[in-house]
Amino acid sequence: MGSLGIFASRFNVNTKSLEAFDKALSFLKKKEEIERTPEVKANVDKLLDVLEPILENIQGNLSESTAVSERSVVDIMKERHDREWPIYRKKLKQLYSKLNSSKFKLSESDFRLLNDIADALDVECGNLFRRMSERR
Amino acid sequence: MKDYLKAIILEQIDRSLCLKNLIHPVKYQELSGLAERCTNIIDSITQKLRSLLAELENREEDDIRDILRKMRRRVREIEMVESYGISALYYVNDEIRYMNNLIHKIHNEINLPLSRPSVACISTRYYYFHPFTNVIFVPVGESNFLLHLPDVFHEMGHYVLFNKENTLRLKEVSRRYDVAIKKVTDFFKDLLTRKIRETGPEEKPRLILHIHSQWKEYWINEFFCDLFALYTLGPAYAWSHLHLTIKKSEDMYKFSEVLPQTHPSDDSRMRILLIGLHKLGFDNEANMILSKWNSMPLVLNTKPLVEYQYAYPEELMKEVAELFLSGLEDGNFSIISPTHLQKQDSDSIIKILNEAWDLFWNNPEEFRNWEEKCIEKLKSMIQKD
Repeated sequence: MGSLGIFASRFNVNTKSLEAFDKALSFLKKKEEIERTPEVKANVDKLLDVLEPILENIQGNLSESTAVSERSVVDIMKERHDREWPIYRKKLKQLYSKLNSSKFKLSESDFRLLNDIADALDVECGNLFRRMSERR
Repeated sequence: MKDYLKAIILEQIDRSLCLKNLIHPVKYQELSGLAERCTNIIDSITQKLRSLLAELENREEDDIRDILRKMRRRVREIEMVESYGISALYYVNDEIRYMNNLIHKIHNEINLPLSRPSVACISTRYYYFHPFTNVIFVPVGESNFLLHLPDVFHEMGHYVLFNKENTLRLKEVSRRYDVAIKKVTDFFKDLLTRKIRETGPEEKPRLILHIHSQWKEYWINEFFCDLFALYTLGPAYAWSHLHLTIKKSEDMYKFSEVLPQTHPSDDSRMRILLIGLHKLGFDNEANMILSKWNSMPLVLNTKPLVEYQYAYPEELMKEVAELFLSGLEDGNFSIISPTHLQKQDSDSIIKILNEAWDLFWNNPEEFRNWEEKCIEKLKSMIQKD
């Protein structure tokens, strides 16, 4: 298979994860205090599908997940938040713990962070899309 | 910004509708499946764009980050259906009938549990499969030759991988694939732990993270597709890999410690194919291929980088080859063996492609004559069906 098909496959996987992430984000935006009902859990899981491999990578661990190209997504986030990276990393970890707790409330800054993650994933989708169209 | 976004969405709806207009009339009935797929994709995009317009109406100016992302996704989809679907319907000639019918026959011979993919003979980049439209692209002259046709089986492997989670009969393929990813991760986790404990250069852990990411993102898929082609077609696929390597490979042991590499090295791909051939019982063929491979100047005169040793561990490749074989067996694919190959009808594509390789080695002077006659026969037989 040429590289085009490979990038097309990765593009597809990352795009699906982003689509699910965005849906979950819209769902949670409408909620005030969030309790872990089955519906909430399903949506939080969609966020965690993306967040977990990213955090694993940040911590220098190997992740089994194939949902996102986490190394590239982390590189994009690092580039965008270069100056505040240590604090930013900490915020990501805090958000991860919050999403794993039984009852939580997402603040405006949490939503900003979630949108940052989605934007970074969107950039990676754009990169894969561009590479798909390149002649190699 | 809201007004601008709205204008872009409307522009994209118009573009989708224009593309839909290009689908009909379908010039060859062999492409009607693709025409239907493209129509469905465009209808879905148009509907999503219309919902996005409605969603945009209720948003504040500073609350549109997700709308922008969604719009960009639709733009990419439109470009994909245009480039990898509509173009395949638009630029067609008679060869498309033969190639699509040939794929149909292969589809039946290997017992593929999915709808038939389409073929377009307009590739300028060798063979590739596009998962968005389910089209296998092949070079324009490919319908006149046999020796590289085994690559179609590899592309079908990508089709299987792409659908493994939404097809009941591919459940075991999907499960084995996940186990393979776990094995790969465990292997490199273990290696990473050992390297961190050792007092060595700091680059080693970074190298291992890089190799693991290559396996997980790209290499495991390529190995699956190579093995899929080998397990369903047989030695012809390994021969065609050798043939392609000698013609095109720049470096058998291609490896970068930092740069992404979409395909595993040619050396590793041949190694996993040889493992697979032995599993299927093609020991003689494996020995013949290895002997030809080892006599290639590309192999004799090149040595891999020291770090290459970490990239393709034999033990891991054996486990992966075994997992994929059992996944395909459980998925009820028609798996080839020496006896099974012998029993195939004379018009079986699987048999013809393996015979082509035997004849190419045994009687190279006569090969082209035979190949031309064989294709002529195939074309008349397949188009009658």
